[in-house]
Amino acid sequence: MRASLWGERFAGVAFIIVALYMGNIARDFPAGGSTFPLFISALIMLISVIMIARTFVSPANYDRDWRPKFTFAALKPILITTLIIGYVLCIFRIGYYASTFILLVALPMALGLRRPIFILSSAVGATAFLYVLFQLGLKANMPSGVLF
Amino acid sequence: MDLSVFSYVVNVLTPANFIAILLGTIVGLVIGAIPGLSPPMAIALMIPVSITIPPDSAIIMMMAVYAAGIYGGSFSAILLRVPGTSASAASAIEGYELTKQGKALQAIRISTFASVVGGLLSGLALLLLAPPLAEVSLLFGPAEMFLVALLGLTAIASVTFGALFRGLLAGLVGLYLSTFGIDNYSGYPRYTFGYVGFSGGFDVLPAIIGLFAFSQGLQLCEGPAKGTVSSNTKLSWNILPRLSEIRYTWWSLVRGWTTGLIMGIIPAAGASVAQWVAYGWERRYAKPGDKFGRGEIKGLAATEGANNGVTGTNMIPLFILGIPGGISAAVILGALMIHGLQPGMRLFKNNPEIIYTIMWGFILANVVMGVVAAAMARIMAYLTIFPQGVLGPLILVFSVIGTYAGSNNIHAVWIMIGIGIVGYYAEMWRFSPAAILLGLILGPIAENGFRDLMVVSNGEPVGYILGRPVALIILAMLAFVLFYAVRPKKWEKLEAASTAATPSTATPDRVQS
Repeated sequence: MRASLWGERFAGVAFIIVALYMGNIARDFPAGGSTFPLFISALIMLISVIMIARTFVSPANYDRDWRPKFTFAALKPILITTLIIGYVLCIFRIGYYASTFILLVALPMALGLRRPIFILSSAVGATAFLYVLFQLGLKANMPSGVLF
Repeated sequence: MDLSVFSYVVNVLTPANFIAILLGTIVGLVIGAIPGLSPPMAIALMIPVSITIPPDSAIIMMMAVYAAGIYGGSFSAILLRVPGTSASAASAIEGYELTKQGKALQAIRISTFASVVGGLLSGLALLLLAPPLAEVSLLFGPAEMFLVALLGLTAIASVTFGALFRGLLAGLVGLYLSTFGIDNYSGYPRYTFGYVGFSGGFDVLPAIIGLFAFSQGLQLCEGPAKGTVSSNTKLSWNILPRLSEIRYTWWSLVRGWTTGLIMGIIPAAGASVAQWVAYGWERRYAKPGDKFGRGEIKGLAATEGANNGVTGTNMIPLFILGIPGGISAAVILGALMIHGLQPGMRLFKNNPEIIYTIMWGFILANVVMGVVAAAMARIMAYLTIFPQGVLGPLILVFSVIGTYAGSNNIHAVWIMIGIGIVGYYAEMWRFSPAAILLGLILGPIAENGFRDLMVVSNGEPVGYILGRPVALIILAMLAFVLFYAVRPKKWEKLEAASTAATPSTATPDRVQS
């Protein structure tokens, strides 16, 4: 699979900006603490410049077509991550085991799986396993909220 | 070499020791397979259980937990691309690709064989060569540690799979992340951006779980809900390795075992570094037709041989010098002291029956691990035929709980989620997550080694390195690796032509699952 021409250039520029920003912060680190970060910044800039230069020297090696996708499928990972963030916040309000059970039922159904018995039994089994392992086995008291 | 050590093998063959080994193996495999739960945690868990049993059985149980915990992480790495421990991340690269091709059990077979034999060889090295190898571990100072870290960093190129510059940038990002937190030398908070979660630095645990487990969970949720990880719908019971598979991977196994045995002696290196060095070494021996990055069994054999090849030799500094070489060894040191055993040469002189029984127990534990692991793997392999719509959410849940249980810190969970998103898009845009992880693991070793080197050499590292034989050997290896990587293209063509003219002794197509 060939790299995208503009993707390569954009990545190179982005990394140069990040390296300059991080290197600028590192200049204030005392007692030799700046050496390693500055070295990394320099290397990143060097490699990024080479990456960008290669797209001008041999553009035929790259794919010119680059269209960012803003479809629902492309946003799915962001939506699922948002849901997981909500799940983590709910753990401390509803309780760990209750939140986990709800997530393990709701998320598979939201993803389009239509096997309610399998989903329910997996959720029950997983929650029970987590309870036995963490609560009884490791004696790790997981957060409890309104429920358990 | 004292041959009387062989007389202590009968001490191991008691029902109490066998039960201790079995229990330790099962606990180690289960804990090791779950991301976030680590072998040191499992060992610490067994300490209260061990109080009521004789000291040698107690320590044997913990050694069994340690060895099995290292291997247990490989199950989830191979079957789900979710490394259970930091020692199994490299195995996820080739192992999971094999699982996707319906060859999960072949991967598990070779991985079990590599790990069991690696552990046995490592145990024999511990038993027979402990005192001289302990002397070697003392030769590793700041210069050697710095050069070992550089050698490990060259493995970044081997995990870029055709996107070298993007992979190098990913590795450098990993090095950046390793500088976050309080500087060990000045106490100055670097790159904390005012966030308390960054003040402790980037721990490896949330990074591994985020880069591999969380991002894998997102990928599975993105795919068809009814689809499965493996193309198989049924699983076989072929859990014993075939002679053809062993013959095909033989030299890869030898390289993996050698890497593990050597890296185990080096303080603070351990399985996390050994697996990558072994994988990088294996990539250099790639022949035309090898499928590295797309399910090459030789790559898996090398990493698995290395990560369990470390387990015995990693205990040498502990048993001989009383100096733990890693976290697991530190926990075992605590257990030794709780049971009234002070490690060191005095233990060998005053209580040889205890220490050698423990070592034989460790060797036997690797055999038991092979049997138990094969059965457990067969059960865990059912996960590969679970619908992705259920498996993905399960992995996401385990990522959160594993991170929280492993660090007891909600900030680690947020960091894990953040790195998980980074890992997901890094994989999509071919910035190798493995390279990020490698940079994160090796960054502290490289930086601390370099800064210590500058102190001990009074600012003249070159002259200092030239006066140390072990450092020169590692420098020579580094030069060889770099030369091999950048050698002129016409040399590559000559080598490829020479290899094509030589018939290979085994073909991967005949190696079936």
